[in-house]
Amino acid sequence: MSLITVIWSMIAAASLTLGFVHVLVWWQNREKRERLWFFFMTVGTACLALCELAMMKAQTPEAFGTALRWLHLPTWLIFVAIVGFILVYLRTGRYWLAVAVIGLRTVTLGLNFLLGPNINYREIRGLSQVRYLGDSAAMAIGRPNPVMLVAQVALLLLLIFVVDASVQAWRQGEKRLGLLTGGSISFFVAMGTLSAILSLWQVVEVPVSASLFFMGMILLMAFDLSLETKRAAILEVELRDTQESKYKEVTHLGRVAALGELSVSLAHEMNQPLAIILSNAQAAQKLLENKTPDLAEVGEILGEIVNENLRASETIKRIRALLQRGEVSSQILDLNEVVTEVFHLMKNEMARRQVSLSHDLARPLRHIPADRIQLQQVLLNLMLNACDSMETGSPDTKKLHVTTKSDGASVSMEVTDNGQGLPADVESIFQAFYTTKDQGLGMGLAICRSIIAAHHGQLWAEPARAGSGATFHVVLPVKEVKS
Amino acid sequence: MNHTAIVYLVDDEPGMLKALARLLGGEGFQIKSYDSARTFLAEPELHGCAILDVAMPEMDGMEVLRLLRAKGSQVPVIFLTGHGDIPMSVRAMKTGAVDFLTKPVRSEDLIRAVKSALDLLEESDQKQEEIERLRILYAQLTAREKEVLAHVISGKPNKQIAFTLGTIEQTVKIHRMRVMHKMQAESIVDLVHIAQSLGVSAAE
Repeated sequence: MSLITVIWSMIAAASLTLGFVHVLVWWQNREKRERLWFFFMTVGTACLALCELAMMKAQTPEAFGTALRWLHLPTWLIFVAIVGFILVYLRTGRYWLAVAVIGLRTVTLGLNFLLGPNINYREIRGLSQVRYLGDSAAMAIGRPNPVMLVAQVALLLLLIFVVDASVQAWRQGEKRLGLLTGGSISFFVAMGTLSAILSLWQVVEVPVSASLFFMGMILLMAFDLSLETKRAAILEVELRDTQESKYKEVTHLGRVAALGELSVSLAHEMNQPLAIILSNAQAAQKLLENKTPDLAEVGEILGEIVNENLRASETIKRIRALLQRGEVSSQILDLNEVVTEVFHLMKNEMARRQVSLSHDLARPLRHIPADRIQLQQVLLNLMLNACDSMETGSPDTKKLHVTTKSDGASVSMEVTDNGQGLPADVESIFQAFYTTKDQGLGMGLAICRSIIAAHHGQLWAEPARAGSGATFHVVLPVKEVKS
Repeated sequence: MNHTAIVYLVDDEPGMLKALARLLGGEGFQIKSYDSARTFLAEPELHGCAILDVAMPEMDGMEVLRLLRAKGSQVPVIFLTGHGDIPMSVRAMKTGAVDFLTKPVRSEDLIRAVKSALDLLEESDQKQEEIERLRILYAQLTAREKEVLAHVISGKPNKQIAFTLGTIEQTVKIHRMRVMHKMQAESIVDLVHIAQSLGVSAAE
């Protein structure tokens, strides 16, 4: 097999391969239309290379003429593809120039198939073999047809169009696009054009080999497009990071709001130990004023001061954990622990609102992968909502019931109240800014649902089985779900 | 200070009860602790002052005070609260509390409040005794003397009283002297005061 055959076949194969890679990208994301244009360009280049090969290896003038005639079809395709690519990718380029380029090239194509044997030659008398790349290649001996000037004007117009579009892109600040993409297209189009003109007008004894230059252009563009793919991937990661930090921010705000509702009770929870400590300490001071102080009593007092101090710092720890803008961290945990922790936080609030709390926690409960603080936040919100919905009831009727249970692949939690119940459109309560409270933001349940969704679980509400209230269900998977 | 008086402590928090009992016990007060409003209200006879926690489950301090007064108990009440605000303290004073303290409370403040509550109790005890004494004196008056008393405190001259009662001025004078003597009043003004504290109203 001759070297020319090898090289030109490889050009065709390589450009088709690159083309298919990018058309797949377009297939997955239809918005990347530049990939489709690129694909057309590679198809054109491959066909162009095959036509050129047929010309160089032609045995008869007729075969040469036919190959040259068909060569104009892939050339037309390349033209259209370059114009399309520039318009889509650089987002510059003058439309009238684009229309002129494609129009003129289409006229060329028409003339080419009307005139025989093709637009370039009036007649091909014979073939001469020239040495080319260490191989022999056929070249036409004949009279060039001046009509082919139309084709060459079209080439020139294309060059102007590309250069103009690149300059515009550069001016708009897209320096890399203008320089690399526009520049490379311009350069290779110019070189291809020049070589074809010189060859067809028989100025130099070199066969038409425009596909070589188009191949160079395709390689550069493929490189550029893959860089773009990489940039897109980086952008996507950044976007996901931003979304994650927004999620963190919003859930954090939700927790702050929930704790805000608890503030009176939490203040009491903190104040009570302080009050006990002060009274005890002053009682001890009084005791020590005696000549023979009762040291056993003083010891007992100190013991109680220590206990109350620990109780206060326990409360502070709980509040701090909830207020922290921490990372969302999945750990294997016992849902019952989360529930008891929230009960501690809510103890005073429930007493203050005269709500009686009962619970039915399944033990042992299968452990689940979850973020402790976020699950606490969900339960806190559900319990606060339940208390709110029972606000108007008499103390005897204000009952809140929390249960946990395992079933198969999931662990579930239910919060039931006997308050005012749910609206007709139950799903509406999970929408952002839905609220029945005067001072509510209406984000609580929306945030809860997004937290549970992030845990690959489900949160829904339905009327309580008994009484007038509502039951909120939370179901969480036991297995870690890969996102 | 009234040594038979008891300080009743009512708080749902056992730690708080214990600490307050220690503190006030150390000052020499007699203490009785209750961890719920119900047990405190079940107490048949109260003599002393009560320190009530405002925020208690089941029943808050204000409600306890209302029930106490409904029962007829005049026990002075001091409120203790974890989170007192002005509206709450106003409400407390209107319900008839003698003091309103916020936790954590300094022992001096608490002791001062307890002392003044007990002073108040003593004062009202003395007043009660005085009224009791006057009631006995009043019971010794005859029906006619009571009639004359009612007219005298209305400020009418003897002549008019005599006319109203259908008698002569001289008789009214004698009745009047007897009333003053029996009621141990030193002047008309004194007599008016006594009548007021006994709830005797003046004649038309």
